[in-house]
Amino acid sequence: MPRLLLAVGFVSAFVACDRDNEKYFPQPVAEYPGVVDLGEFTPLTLADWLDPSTRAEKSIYDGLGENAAIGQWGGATFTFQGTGGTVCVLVDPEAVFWLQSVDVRSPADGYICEDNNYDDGDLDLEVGLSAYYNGTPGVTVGNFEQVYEDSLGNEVVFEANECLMTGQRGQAGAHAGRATPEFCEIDTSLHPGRDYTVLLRLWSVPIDDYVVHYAATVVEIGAGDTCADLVSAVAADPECALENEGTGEGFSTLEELYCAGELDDLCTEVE
Amino acid sequence: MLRGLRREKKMKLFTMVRTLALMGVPLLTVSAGSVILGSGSAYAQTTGTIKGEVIDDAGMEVPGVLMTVDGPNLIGGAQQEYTDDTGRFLFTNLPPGLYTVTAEKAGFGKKRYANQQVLIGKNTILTIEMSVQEAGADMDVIAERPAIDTESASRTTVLTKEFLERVPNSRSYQDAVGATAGVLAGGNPNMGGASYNENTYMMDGVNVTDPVTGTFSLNFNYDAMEQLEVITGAFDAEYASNLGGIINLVTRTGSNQLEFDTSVYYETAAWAPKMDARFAADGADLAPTDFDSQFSSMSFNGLISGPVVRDKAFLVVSYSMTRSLIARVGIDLPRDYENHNLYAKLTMQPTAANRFTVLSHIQPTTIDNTTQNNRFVNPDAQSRQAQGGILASAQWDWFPATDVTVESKLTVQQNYIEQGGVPCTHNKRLGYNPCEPDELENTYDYTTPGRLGINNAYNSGNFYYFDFDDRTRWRAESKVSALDQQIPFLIGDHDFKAGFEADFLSWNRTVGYTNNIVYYDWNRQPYDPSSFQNYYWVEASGEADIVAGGEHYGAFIQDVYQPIDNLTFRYGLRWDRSIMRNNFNEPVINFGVFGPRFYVIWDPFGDGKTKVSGGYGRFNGIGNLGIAADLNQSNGLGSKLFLGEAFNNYTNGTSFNYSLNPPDNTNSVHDTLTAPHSDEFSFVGERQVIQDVVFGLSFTSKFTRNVYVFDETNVIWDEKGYGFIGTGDGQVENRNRLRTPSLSRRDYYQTDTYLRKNFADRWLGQATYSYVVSRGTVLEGNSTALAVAPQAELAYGNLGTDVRHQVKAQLAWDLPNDPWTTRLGASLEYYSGGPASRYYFSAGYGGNALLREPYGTYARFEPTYYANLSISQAIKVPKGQFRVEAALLNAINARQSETVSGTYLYAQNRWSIVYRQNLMSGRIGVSYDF
Amino acid sequence: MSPRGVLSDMTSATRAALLLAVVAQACTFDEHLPQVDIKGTVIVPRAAATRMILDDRTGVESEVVDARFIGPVYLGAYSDIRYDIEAYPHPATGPIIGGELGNTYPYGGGTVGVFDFACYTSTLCKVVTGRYADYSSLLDFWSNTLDQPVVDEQGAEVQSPDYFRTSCYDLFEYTEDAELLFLAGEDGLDFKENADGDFEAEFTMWRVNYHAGMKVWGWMDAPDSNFDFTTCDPANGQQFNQYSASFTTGSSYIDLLNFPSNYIDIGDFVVNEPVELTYEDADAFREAAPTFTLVYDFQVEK
Repeated sequence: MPRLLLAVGFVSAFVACDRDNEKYFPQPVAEYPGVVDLGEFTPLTLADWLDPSTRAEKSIYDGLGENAAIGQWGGATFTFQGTGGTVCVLVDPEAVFWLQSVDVRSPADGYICEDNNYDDGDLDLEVGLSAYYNGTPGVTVGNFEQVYEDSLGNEVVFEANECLMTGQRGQAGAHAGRATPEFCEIDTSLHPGRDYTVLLRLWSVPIDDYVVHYAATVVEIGAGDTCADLVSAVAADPECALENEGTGEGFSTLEELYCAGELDDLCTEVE
Repeated sequence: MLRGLRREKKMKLFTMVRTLALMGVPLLTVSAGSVILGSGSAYAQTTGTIKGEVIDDAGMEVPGVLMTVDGPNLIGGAQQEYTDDTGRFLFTNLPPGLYTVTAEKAGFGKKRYANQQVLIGKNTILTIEMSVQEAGADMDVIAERPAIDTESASRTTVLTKEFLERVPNSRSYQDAVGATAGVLAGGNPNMGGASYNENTYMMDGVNVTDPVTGTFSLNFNYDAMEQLEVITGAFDAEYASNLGGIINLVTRTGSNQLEFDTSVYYETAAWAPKMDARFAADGADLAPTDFDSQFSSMSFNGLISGPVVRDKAFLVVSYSMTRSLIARVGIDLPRDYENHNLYAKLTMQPTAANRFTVLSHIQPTTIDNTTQNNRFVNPDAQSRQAQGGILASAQWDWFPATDVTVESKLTVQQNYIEQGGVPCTHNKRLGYNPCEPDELENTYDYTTPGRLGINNAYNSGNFYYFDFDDRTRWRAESKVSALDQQIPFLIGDHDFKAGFEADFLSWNRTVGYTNNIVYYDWNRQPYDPSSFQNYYWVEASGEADIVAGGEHYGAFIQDVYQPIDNLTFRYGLRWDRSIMRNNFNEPVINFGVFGPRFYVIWDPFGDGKTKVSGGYGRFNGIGNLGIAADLNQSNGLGSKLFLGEAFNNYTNGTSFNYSLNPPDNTNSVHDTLTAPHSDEFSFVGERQVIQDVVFGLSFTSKFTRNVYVFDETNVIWDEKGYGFIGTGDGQVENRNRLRTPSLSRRDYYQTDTYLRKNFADRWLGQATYSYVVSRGTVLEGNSTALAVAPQAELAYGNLGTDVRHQVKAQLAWDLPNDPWTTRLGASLEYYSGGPASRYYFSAGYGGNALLREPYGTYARFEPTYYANLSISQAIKVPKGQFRVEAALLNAINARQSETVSGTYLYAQNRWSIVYRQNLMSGRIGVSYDF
Repeated sequence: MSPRGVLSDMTSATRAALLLAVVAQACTFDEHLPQVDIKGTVIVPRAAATRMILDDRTGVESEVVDARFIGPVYLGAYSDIRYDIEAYPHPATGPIIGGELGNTYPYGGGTVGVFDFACYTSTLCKVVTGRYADYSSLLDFWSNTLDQPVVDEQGAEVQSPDYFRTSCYDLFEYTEDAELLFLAGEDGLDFKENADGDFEAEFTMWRVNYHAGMKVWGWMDAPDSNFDFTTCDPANGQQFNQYSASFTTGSSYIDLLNFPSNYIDIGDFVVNEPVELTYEDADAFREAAPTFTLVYDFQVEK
């Protein structure tokens, strides 16, 4: 019988042993909470946007860490008031500015060295009327899904996110991948003065430091203008100390510096 | 008499089993309909029964005859009892094996019936004639061997250890069951027209079916099997509910003799001529590839068994190790499989009325260079899978009376599969990425840019993908049987049995990518790090967790009623209550169902040489956790698909090339579900044409209804099911709903014609021809067969199991050159080609939505067949014997073996399945036992 | 009386009936599915099949009536149909998001005819199923009626049905004409002229989510002067890399029923009087198995 008990004990111990696999997952970072609310934001004017220093001064530069609540979305929210015109909302989950996926050059041109896959994070952009946002800013991250009841009492969950980007098969509601900017135009003419909520949903954090650094902004643009126009208008502007980093020539220079490990000497941290 | 004495002598010289096998003891045979030896059916899943009656010269029953049953496997020592007033005797709960039955009474002679074989769940029935003329004599009786089971209706085949040794196969129980009619062989065979995941797997009567997938969950030492019971239909209520068949593996028990058995086998296909790969898919030849697969394996087996306390406690310990290397087409490094099986069983019978059995089995396995993650991403040998599990069981059998048994059992089984990357290895036999001397093998290197894979392809999935999967089953069961019972004022005998069982199941799985991104190389082009040409990648957010659990309760009551000697009624009722929950603890499967069975077996001439049987049974599918958990398959936070340069024509060529799998759960369950079930009608006719040779015919029709399927509720399709024109909720998402509609059904018909030669006079043989028709709308449960409404109209057609002509033959012959016995064995299986499904592109979501089988050429695959040959030679040595075996597997063959993912062949705008010929291989082995 | 007594008192016929009842109960399973298939007839006016065709040789314009002019017919089931949203009857819409007209959230729908790729890019988004009996019918219509001959990928006019078939089989790897949706084959042509001179066809709306009071409505996409259709998305559909360049085979837009006003344009025919379904629930509807007639009698003008 003691042998039997021993056997049962062995079995129980084995079954009780489970693996938490923690080492495979990003961990929360104390300095960068996974859910934050950045408050109210005043949209930039076109002039603000075109001036590099004003643009940097008025835009949001921040970071998000892995959400401590396992299995729940993390992200940042902020609000702005409808201007009555069209605005461009833009987020650049820029973990590293040397990045092939947004390189203006063709891939056929070739790269000097490979991308570092481990410092790229991903934020997904959603924008809608604050009244439709169902998360609790700074506490939990929600979305813009609401319920519509038609005349026959049938309830439909509908998407009130106005920042709908088009996916592979033309379906609305898709998002770009890691380290890729997302942007969309929001027509606020129907709701001037009403609060809009911008949600930067934390899709993934880089696995080198578990923090995705990003820039986000809202810019007033003219009717018929697009965010793409906005971006291309400043593509040649210096972001660090390097001229023309958004051009092919600038990228090559940047890449050489990156590969040589000399980038830190040129770039200054933007707080 | 002399022959009997000689046998006794041999038993001392050789190990019991092998010696008995040499003697031409009536052993197993295989058939669609019955078991070889013994007739009647007992109620047990690990033991059998010997019963009968004693009569005198005038045919009158003889009471008070002292009956003794003894055998090497019989724990508790020889059993004795006196025949009752009607001259009857009954010995129950006998472990399978060979027994000697002795009858003696003053005034009569003493008669000894040796080599009476007890099979799992069967009665061995003896009619013993005693004569006063023989008073004082002591004689061995060579009884005529009954070849037909005249009390059983189930389509059961018991493969004995001797059969498994003689008829060549790949030395796995999964392969061995393919010898049975109605079984489409494979790792998880299709049995009786059912899906591969609808069978029940048992080890020593313990249900060890995978609680998540419904497939087999363990490998087992081939040499440690005592018998393998394969039931393809018409089984009693005692057996677990399912829509397929039952594979019951019964292990060695041990005996009073110390036995030792060890063997080494080596198998290789290196020398075999390479034949071109045959691609036959969908009626069209697709791009051919070189056929340069390689295979080799080495296995070591050891078994020791014997008494711990003579007659009171037997112990069996078995260990086997198998390592195989499989190099597939186009892959430089072989898949490296290493499996260890350690099995121990302790059987104790401290008193005549109590027997305890404790067993445990562990099977740690590693697979390096696994390709199981994604078939079209050829691994660059940096992935490792570890799997295994533990099975532990404790059983108490209480025998309050000779004919009454109370069986109680507690079982726990946990299986695990862990798949993860190995950035580098210190294992020198693996030819990839050696670690630096001070580098730890399992330390993930996050900083080095992507590894180079096959053809220098970049596929980070090999070392970033991880999968931790734990599956647990706790099971408690108790059964009571009372055999040979008479009811007052009612003629005939009854064998009653009733029982209750409870299973508690859980599934805990975590899947993800450590880097939250994985690159796939679609076309296996050389990797160009300056572009993402020919690649796509998937970005995952967070891990996907599945935590599902469930319970199953079952109860049954059954009776075998024999009003007169040559007429048997078998009937019973089974009740199952099944609750399987999803991640949100919602009971997705939640029902209680009844499964009645009723069969009649008639021996028209009363001589035990003819049988006509038939009946009806309902079998219910109780589901598994995999079905329940499918409802939260998007439980992970989500994943995105990015398309590289090669996929620009799917996209606009911008950096916004992606699609999005919604992070929320888009699956649901229809309010009204019912249990999938089969109504089976069967008929068997058998006749012993000459001694040991049986000719048989059987016919089975099986109607399966309400198979689990998903349909889609959001998309609004055009009239052809070709494209969609709107969505219910305005979002382009598939919203699948689990249903059990009457529309999802299978109709299966099987006719067997067979000739069977029982093992006797040194040889056995069997040939079975089966004609099968299998039609319906869905073969495998839980498919998305109803995704497009118009499909349902088209989908009824021949199913994958519609393999019309199936021929199976086995032959074994022991040359009469004792003691240097030479054994020859051969097996052949032939299957005409099954149907190929034709999936065509639909513009709608998912791309492959339209199934158009009724149109166009209804292509079938090429026939497949293979033959195995073996020869072995025993070499006697003073302390035992060596046996040298050589086998040629797939000696002639066109066998389907390797299924290539449909995704892989999507390039030609159609989904296809491709099979490839198995390699011919040779195996040599040496075994030693004493 | 004991239960056994009850059984033994029964006649064998009663026992057999009881057994049958038990078996029958086990065999019948009603899912009570909330979806129904709605069947019926659509009627499009003669004008939808009529065109003025200019004969180049004679310079005479004449009226030609041909069912092959009829475009794809769409049907949808909605909570309501309103007359104040557009200049034609239009389904009720949900909330306005981002300034767009709200989504109609249809309960289900169907079509009579779908766009199918007739093997050459010259007919991309122009061929509707159920309109052509065979290859010759299509070639004849394109050459002689529309005066837009079908050309292959090299620009040569396709004149031979055999060549047409070969091209299709090569492209799709088909083995029978029945696999080509745009050939009516045994199914026959969809539309037939009725006694009033209008054209009728049977329809099925697959698995519509049933709600009592819902209304079935629809429109027909009439081809423009170039025989193009607004409801076909040339970038959707099956992907091919054959011929000189890669192309898609075209298919319906995927939100036709959700945002019909994006696709309905001048000349299309809209259902003016939608059919209202008043059966209590899906089970009642199935039991009644009604069929409906939907008349597409409102031509959109602007």
